[in-house]
Amino acid sequence: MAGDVSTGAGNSTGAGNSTGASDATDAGDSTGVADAGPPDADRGWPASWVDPVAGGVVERERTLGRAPDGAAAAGEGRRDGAVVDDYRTGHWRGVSAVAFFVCGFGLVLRQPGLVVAGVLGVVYAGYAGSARPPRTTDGEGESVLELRREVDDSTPNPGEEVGVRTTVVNAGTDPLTDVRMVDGVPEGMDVVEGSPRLATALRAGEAATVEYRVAVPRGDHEWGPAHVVVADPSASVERETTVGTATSVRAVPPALSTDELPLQDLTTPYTGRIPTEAGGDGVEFHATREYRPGDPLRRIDWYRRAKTGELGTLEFREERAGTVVVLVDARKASYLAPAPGARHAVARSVDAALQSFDTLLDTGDRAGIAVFGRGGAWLPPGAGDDHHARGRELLTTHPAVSAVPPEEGAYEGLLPDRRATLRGERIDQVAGRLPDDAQVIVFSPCCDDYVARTVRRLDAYGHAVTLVSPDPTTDRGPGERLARLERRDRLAALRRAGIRVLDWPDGEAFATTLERARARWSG
Amino acid sequence: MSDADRPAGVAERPTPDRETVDRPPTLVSAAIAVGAALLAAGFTGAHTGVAGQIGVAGVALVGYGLFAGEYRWIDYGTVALVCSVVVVGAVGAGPRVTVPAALCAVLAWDTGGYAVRLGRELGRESETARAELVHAGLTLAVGTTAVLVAAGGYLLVTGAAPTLAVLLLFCGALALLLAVSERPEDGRRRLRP
Repeated sequence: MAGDVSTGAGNSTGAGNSTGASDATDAGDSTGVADAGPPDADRGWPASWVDPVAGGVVERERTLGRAPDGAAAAGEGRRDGAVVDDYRTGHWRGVSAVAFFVCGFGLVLRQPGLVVAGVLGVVYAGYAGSARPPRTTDGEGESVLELRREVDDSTPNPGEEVGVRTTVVNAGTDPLTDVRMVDGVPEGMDVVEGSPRLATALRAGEAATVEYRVAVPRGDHEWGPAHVVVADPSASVERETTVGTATSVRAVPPALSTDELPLQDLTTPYTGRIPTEAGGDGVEFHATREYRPGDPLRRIDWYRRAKTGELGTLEFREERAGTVVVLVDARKASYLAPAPGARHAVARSVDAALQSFDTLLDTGDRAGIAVFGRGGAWLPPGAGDDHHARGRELLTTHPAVSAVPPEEGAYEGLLPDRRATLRGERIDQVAGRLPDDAQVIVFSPCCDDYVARTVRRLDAYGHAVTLVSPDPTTDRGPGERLARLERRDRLAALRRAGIRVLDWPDGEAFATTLERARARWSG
Repeated sequence: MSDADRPAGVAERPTPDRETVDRPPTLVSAAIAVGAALLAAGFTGAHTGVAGQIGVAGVALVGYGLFAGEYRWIDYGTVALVCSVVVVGAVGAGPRVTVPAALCAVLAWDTGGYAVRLGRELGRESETARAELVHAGLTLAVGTTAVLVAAGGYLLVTGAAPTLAVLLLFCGALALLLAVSERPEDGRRRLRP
């Protein structure tokens, strides 16, 4: 339940958008401000107050709540404490009518008890009617409310739970009797414990804190401004505003421990860690040969010299570096999970790809990244710290590897012929970019034929291809069983064609699967 | 929007709208509302049996409104409580009965509506107790002050000319009512910033 979206279960964003659209028309005409534009689909932030926990839209009954967000997409521009909207809540609506009725009745019947009771109602009508929205900014336009947010760990592992403490402070000189706050929990994050919402009263200088825990999915996440509603003491007038403070967390999978990633024999001329059949410098004994002038003194076989008087040279097995391109399949068709809410195959692929990328660079190999889906992404093979950072950035935050599936496939809506052509071209495009000596590690659930075709094509071009396939299939129903059998069949066909296939079962750590495969492949 | 509009046989899909509406009212305010409604029914019931029965019906309606999280039923319940106050007043109960009962009825209505509102906005699992207590306390304080002032004036004047005092009070009430009545500015009840 790490909060990733499985196929067809895009509950929070999808549903939020649909209601947001209807709300927008409602709110738009009341304000006349250009806030009723279409909700920003990328951010999935509809034009109404989206509750970060339930994912629902908070309905502003009896009010004209204009969405705090309209601008949330461009939220950075707005100042803290600036008024988003003022509205009457209608909380005391009808009290004057009742007061009038009771007073009149008492007068007709000449009953002082009723008249006095009616006067009470009038006083309440006055209490509500004279209400003015509390001030959220002081004379200089500075926000009266201040927000502080602390996160236990700003660099957790993906899926890890992180504690958050958000404190709202009344830094003004007047007390606020009714402050309601919803913290701006980033989209895609699940609140697993506690609540990011609060209603309290704050005297001048007083602070209140909410504590909650969130499960952090992979990637960069930034907290939005907290939505705050301050109401007057009678709760009949409310002012909506936002208060922000910059908080972000970055969840990046840890690197595998060095040397765990088995590579094939296709190597570069650079020294590295893949043992080759070539003799030269190295550690492991390979062969002896005749001495040639220029051979280093320390490699002369002195035993042979002592025995026979001839000079010989020891050769060691050369260890060379590989060039590896990590190819992640993040097409729409690959966002598959064994159950709604479970981690989908793309999330697992990306995590494993990121771990592999780290490991490759740590062990001196050159690594690059390619992504299928949503226009794709490409990072040519390289080495060094800058390259490492760029690669991590790409696999953590690039939209092509987002944890949320794309709305539609890359070539959806085109004629079948055209689609087939474009898909073929996409393979050639990746193949054309690969250096000749590059190995490819493909991460894909392999639940359709496209990736199998890609793998065969790359293999045919002479690249050593390893397919890492996170298994999203289940055996719950006949359809699921069929899909599972088809996938196994596909993997078996690839194995027969001489391609290394790593079938990665759901719920197993990547390192475990890798270890098992290494034992098999080393033979 | 209502359930009846849905064609038969169509599966019910939980929508965010339903989800928010289903969020229950917050507990502190709900408890205060029920308590105040009970008190109001008690005040009127102690004086006149019929009024007490109407009051009990009001308590039940307020309770249901809080259970269902709907303003509507709380409004109905408050109307019943006010009716019970009117009944005791009509049969001759003095301000000593009607005023506390009316105060409790208003408190029940206010805190009940507040409970539903906070429940919908923030949910029951959030920390809301402080805001609720402050809100209820302020409502009670305003009412008590009003009662003390009104009752004081009433007692001062009653000795001399009760009818005149009542008339004066009524005129004052009417004037205040006109002074503070809300003017809908654009039919949308928006405030000018």
